[in-house]
Amino acid sequence: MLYPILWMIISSFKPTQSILSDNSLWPKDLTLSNYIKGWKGTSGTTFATFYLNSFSMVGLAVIGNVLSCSLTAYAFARLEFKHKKIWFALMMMTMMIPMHVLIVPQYIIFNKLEWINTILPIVVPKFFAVDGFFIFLTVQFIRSLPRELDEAATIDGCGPIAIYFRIILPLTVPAIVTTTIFTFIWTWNDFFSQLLYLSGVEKYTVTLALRMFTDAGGEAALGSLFAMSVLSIVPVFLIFVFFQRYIVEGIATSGMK
Amino acid sequence: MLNLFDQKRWSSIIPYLFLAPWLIGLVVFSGFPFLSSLYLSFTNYNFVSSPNWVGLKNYLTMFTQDPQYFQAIKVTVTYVLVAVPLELSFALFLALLLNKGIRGLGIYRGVYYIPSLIGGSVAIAILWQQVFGDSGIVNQLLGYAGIDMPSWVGTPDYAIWSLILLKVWQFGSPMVIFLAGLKQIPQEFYEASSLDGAGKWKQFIHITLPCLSPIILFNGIMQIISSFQAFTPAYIISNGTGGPVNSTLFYTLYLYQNGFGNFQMGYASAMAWSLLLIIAFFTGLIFLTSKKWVHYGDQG
Amino acid sequence: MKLKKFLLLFMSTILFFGLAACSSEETKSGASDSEEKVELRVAWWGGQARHDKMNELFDLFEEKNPNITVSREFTVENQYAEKFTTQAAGGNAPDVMQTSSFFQFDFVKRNMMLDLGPLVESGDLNVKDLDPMDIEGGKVNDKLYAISLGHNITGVIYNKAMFEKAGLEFPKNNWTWDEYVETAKALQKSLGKDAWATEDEGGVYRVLELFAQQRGKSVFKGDGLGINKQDLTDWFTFWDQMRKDGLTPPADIQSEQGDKTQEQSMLALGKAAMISKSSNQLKIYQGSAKDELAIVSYPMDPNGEKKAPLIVASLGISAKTKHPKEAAKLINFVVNDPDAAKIFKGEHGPQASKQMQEVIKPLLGEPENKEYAFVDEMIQSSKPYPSMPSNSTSVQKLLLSTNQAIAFKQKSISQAVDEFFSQAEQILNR
Repeated sequence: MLYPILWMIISSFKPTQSILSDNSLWPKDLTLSNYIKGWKGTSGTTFATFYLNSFSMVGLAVIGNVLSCSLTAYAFARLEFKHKKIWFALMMMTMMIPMHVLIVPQYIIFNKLEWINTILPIVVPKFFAVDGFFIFLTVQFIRSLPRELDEAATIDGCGPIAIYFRIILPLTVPAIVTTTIFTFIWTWNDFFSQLLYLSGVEKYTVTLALRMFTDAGGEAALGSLFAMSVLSIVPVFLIFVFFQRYIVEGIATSGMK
Repeated sequence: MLNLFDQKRWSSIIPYLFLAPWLIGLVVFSGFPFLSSLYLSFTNYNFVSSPNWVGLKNYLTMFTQDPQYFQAIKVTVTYVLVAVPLELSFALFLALLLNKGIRGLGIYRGVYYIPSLIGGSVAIAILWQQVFGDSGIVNQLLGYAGIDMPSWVGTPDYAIWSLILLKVWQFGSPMVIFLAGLKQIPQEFYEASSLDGAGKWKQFIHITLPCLSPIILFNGIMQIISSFQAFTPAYIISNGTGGPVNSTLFYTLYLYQNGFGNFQMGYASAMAWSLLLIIAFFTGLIFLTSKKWVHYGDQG
Repeated sequence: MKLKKFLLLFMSTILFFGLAACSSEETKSGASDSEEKVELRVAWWGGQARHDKMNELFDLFEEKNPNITVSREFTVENQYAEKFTTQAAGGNAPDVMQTSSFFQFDFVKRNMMLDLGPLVESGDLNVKDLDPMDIEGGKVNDKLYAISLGHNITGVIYNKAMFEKAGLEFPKNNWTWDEYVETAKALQKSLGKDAWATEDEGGVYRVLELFAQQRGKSVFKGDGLGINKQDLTDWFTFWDQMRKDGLTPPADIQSEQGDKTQEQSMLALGKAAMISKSSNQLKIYQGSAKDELAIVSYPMDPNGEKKAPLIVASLGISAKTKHPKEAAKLINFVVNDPDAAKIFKGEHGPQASKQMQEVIKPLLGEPENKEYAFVDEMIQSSKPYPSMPSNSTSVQKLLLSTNQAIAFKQKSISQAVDEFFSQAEQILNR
């Protein structure tokens, strides 16, 4: 199961010419040149810049999603308001349309707002809970919490706002961590919106820069592609390993009682 | 603070306070693209000239004159029906295995998650070839066993299976969500049932599954929605063609070919809204049955 | 009730934005003050090597024209049309964009490109030194829309060592179909089991076009197909025989190959002796192949028309640009300035200007010399690339899958041809 990954990692240390002709996991000669060459990036802009860009974009996206989706989910899961079912269905439906037909109207909006060639079109919508996945996820988590918790708090004189901050938020840590991990990874990998909204190379992200290695019509770049692909997985992997501990341990310390 | 307002009015406003970001997002960012795609589905729109109204023509063409459309539906439905249950059971199984309080398991979870991390990466196309190509590792292993297979990714009958396996291989996301869900099940439930002498299997059936059911519902629905819209794997692995012989022509890949290959956004939008109806039908069905098997904490 | 109001609000928002009417800035300021700071946006596609060249090129242009800054938007070829089209739909297209014989008909049809005639007349755009063939290649409906960056012709790129090993002489331009088949058979004999004389090209639109040209036709004509069922039957029958004789890879290996990058191609990996590609790709294939490669014309019908269409890569100006004069200046610089030529080094094949070709000649390597010799000979009998109707990309894909269906024995040739025609007509009429 892990063979493809191991093969990719090993290949990133092989000279480009021998990558495709060799599918064994024991390379004959190792080289770091793929990493050195790959890191240089395009036209003087190195991967250091691309990483910085990716991190700032992804960081903001995570904050936005965690804040906005949790609030919305609480309303859907616990509060009563008019036409709740219709709103919920609408929220689900916005997820069912393939993104390709939404691109042009979205572009028109962001162009009107003069946000082109900034990270705003990618980051700002996250603060407005446009990603139904995370709302639905958090709704399901909140709904699996026993209602008695809220009722007990209401008896103690807590309003919905207090209940949200004192009870729901601490108890949905796993959902929040999941939101963090997924937002991080998906925003990091979301190639097309980055391609569309970020034009200048100084604004390029890691994912965009990686694609540059794959286009035909240049010197062999397969080695650089693998090397930088491996490197680009490292931060995402670390984020995952770091945060998933909170899925597993966070809830235990926050106290279920 | 509460006294400043009329108690009743205040409590009717509160839900909207929580909903405010989402409502603004809906109006400003999602609503216009969503509805304009509906409008465009009744037009002929090539991105540049103004769309002209053609009524139901796009839909009629799709259902009566486009054999590739039905091929795309066939490929996609097969994919969804096979890949989703496989992936989910795999993810649940591993989540149960990994849900032990042993130290160092974090690394394992991370390792299992790596396949999902490289999901959209371009390197995946080359990787998958290396696994399922004519001289890939799978055929080499089968070769030792004396089975001679053609290239998986290159043969119409098998290509879709290599994509299904790719999907199952990337089980990381539902696995993480299952793990998070498992952590929410109060430990006391298990302790109490252990005292009653229930075995592991009984606990799984009577505690784990019911308590996890909201999360199973979530994973099921989201995987169905995303698999119906699966695009990247087919796009990358078949180089955008959906080949060989349209055997991996996913619905959204065909939609994309029409939209961005032929610049027929009207037709692509009509395809998008038909897909919405198909997905809505399946998810609606699941939501309806969910009343029978999903147990929410808030229902006591 | 509230929902209804809300929907109404939505609909009025749509009307407000007015979808296509969003490109309101149409003020073409002809009198641009030369002191004024101007920002030009330029878009192109390619790989890393091309990006480096283009960036160097525009750095030099900025140096020579301090009042103009060039903001650069580059991407890979696959997503180029996608990004560009979306930008144009949003009323935000770049001022100058790369195009080619394959893109320009569609771009022009959808009014995305500026008619360059007036700029040539006013002297802003200098096309005097350009080869008339290149200028013809940039025209759509007799109007000039694109200025050539370089031209190339589809030929057969082959592995010299494999020919030598098979005891074959190297083929000469305008070789015949019979010679092609005989060569393939001789090659196959010496190649053995795990390599093939040629890739299976029965599904490749570009070479079917060459085949059609030799019959005095073209694959597309006007808004429909320009070939008939007999032509296509002959074509598929030819490739079917090639497959049956074992001269091409089996269907599964061929479709696994797909449309891979040069370094992953069978030619570069020593698994195929011949492949038909654009002449400017010779140097790229050579970069990843161990053996020496060379290029020769596509096989010809001795009794047919011996004309190979010229493929032109070019730069055009957006119909909505606010700075047509500066854009023309930039194009002028790229195609007519010797300093630019030295940087660009004929990235897309020999440049349209003979003078520029002379400038870079001493800088060229061995593969380029072969490429130039090939193009110089072939261009004598070439003609502009035939126009393509909208939806032609889908028909090209249909050709590929039809050939695969025959190769996998899912359909007989006559059945496949019938279905191709009925489906292609439907697609083109959509």
